[in-house]
Amino acid sequence: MSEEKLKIREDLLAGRVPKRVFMQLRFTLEAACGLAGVDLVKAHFDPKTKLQAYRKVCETFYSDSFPIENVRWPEVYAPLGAKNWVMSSTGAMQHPEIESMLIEDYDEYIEDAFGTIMKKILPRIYPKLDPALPGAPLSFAKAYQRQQATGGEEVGAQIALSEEFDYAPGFFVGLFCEAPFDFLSDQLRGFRNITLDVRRIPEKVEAAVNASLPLMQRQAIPRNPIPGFTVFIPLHLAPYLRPADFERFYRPTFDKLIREINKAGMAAFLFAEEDWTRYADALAALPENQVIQFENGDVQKIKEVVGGKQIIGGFFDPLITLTRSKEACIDEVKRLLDIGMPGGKFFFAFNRHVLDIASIDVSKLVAVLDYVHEHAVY
Amino acid sequence: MIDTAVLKQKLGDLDEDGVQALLDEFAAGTPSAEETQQVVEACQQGMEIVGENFEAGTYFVGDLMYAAQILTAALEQLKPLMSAGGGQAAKGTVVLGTVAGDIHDIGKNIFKALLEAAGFSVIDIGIDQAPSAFVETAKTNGAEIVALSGVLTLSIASMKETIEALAAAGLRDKVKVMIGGNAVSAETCEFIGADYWSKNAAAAVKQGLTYVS
Ligand code: B12
Repeated sequence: MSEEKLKIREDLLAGRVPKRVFMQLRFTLEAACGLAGVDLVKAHFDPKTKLQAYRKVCETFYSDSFPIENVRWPEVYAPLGAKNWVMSSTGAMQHPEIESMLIEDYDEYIEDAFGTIMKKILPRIYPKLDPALPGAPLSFAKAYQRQQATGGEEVGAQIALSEEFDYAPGFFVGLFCEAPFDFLSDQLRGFRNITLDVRRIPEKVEAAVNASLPLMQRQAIPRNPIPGFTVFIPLHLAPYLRPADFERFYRPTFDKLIREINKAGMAAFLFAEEDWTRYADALAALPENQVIQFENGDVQKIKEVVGGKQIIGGFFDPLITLTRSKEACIDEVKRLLDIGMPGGKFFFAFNRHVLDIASIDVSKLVAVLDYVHEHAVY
Repeated sequence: MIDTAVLKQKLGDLDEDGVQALLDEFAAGTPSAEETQQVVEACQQGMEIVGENFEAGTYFVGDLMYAAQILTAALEQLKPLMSAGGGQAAKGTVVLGTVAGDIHDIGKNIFKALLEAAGFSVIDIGIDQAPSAFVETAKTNGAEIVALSGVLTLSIASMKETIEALAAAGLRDKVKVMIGGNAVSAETCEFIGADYWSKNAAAAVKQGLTYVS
């Protein structure tokens, strides 16, 4: 693996000024298939086709780490009858809104979160795991076996391409969890319900968030933590909350989770969705050198408040390649680099993943990435 | 008859129980259709307060969702008390939906509640809707406004196709096209040829009113 890229990554994560700006891209499998001109459904099930799509992205766009994220495999979800991940008519794996925990389950969940998930919630998300069904254990075994097989094959493909294209590991290396409030919202109650719950039954929400923390901790931190690894945590709902609700329901357990991850010798890779500018102080107050990718927000302010302490990136919207000239796109990324680079602790990433190929102009995006690779040098 | 000014303020303050108590009291008094209409209008004005607070930055997205819920429940409760065919005439007709490939609808539903509160008749065609669905619904109902919601980056391409389909059906200069959601901007608005864009549902409703007055 490339010594240069590894060294850049290592310097970045340690808070030292690296040789140049580390670049981590995120394309979906849909975008990769669109670029390669191969069928998405076929790519899901045929490793060769998938590899072809991946390779096309690697060949086309410069990145310092493997540039595609694909962790939702249809063959794993099928035997479970999954309701949280379903394939769309075009073959994209979609996450619909779910209410897997009912309002009357709060007390039980607060009492025994793990037990309630096992007994009540999983069978709602995965109807084929209903303990009343004689086939439930077999469905579980099938999904597990496929998870192992497909996961192994996926990792194999990524390692092979990482060797071929000399990639360093990215920040998303398999470890993953959610902030406890987001977990309760996203996986259990649904976004709509949680907004009402926060106002109608705030005590229960608070207790349920607290009950979720140990689960998230357990999911984030492996038994033998790997020093230098980052745990990916997408942050969904804070920007939609009232500031006082953020302080009460979101921040305490989020903070604790990040501290525990750091105590275990690892760091968090946070994806601050939407606009976190008004929570800049809260991010700055986390342990030093967390990696944070931002979607929207005031870059200048975030650099000033958060950038001295945390490692920041994101903000670049690939959509502009559709609407602006090549020169204007490069000007935009220059502006971003001018603000982000001083003092180090900065990486290049898109503000959101590239979901499909119609959302970008390929040649302009190539020009932007080449510019960053060549010019974002210290 | 209850005090409509108090009702309006309670909705503006997101006092769900307070609104409920007043409505229960009102319903118990066997009100006339005309009184019911006044109460509906008070709820709508309360929603305007919510919209103004959101625009001013003192309310947040969660507050909008909560307000939309309170308003929807209130209108549901008041519906049986209204006389058939009574009430104000709609200010205009809006066809609203989330565009093809996108299943997000929280923002769309908020915009819908605010539009209805402002007196529009809204035909909500749902999520993941093909261009033809917008075209057909706009045509059949003589809509003045077609409102496209979408938060995914790929929604921009879907919005563009929808506008092209409106043009192909000869409707483009008969309707105003408004777009909203996380991925829209002044640039994308111009790129796809929409008339108006916003990430702020309350501001967008004001713009919508200028299209029908
Ligand atoms: C909640 C949410 C979900 C929920 C949606 C629940 C529901 N019923 O809608 C669930 C969990 C189902 C979900 C699923 C997915 N999501 Co999602 N989701 C979000 C999240 C966190 C919030 C979106 C939201 O509701 N915002 C609140 C509303 C109120 O805001 P809004 O829509 O902008 O609306 C406001 C205005 O824009 C305006 N408005 C809205 N519509 C209109 C219309 C008009 C005409 C006007 C004038 C105004 C207007 O009014 C509102 C109030 O002012 C965003 C994060 C983000 N940054 O946006 C991700 C996000 C949109 N999701 C994302 C993704 C990728 C997905 C999935 C594709 C994941 C997957 N692989 O399956 C799926 C969707 C599948 C599909 N095909 O659509 C990405 C999109 C990335 C991209 N490149 O586009 C985002 C941006 C997260 C991220 N940062 O990566 N998601």
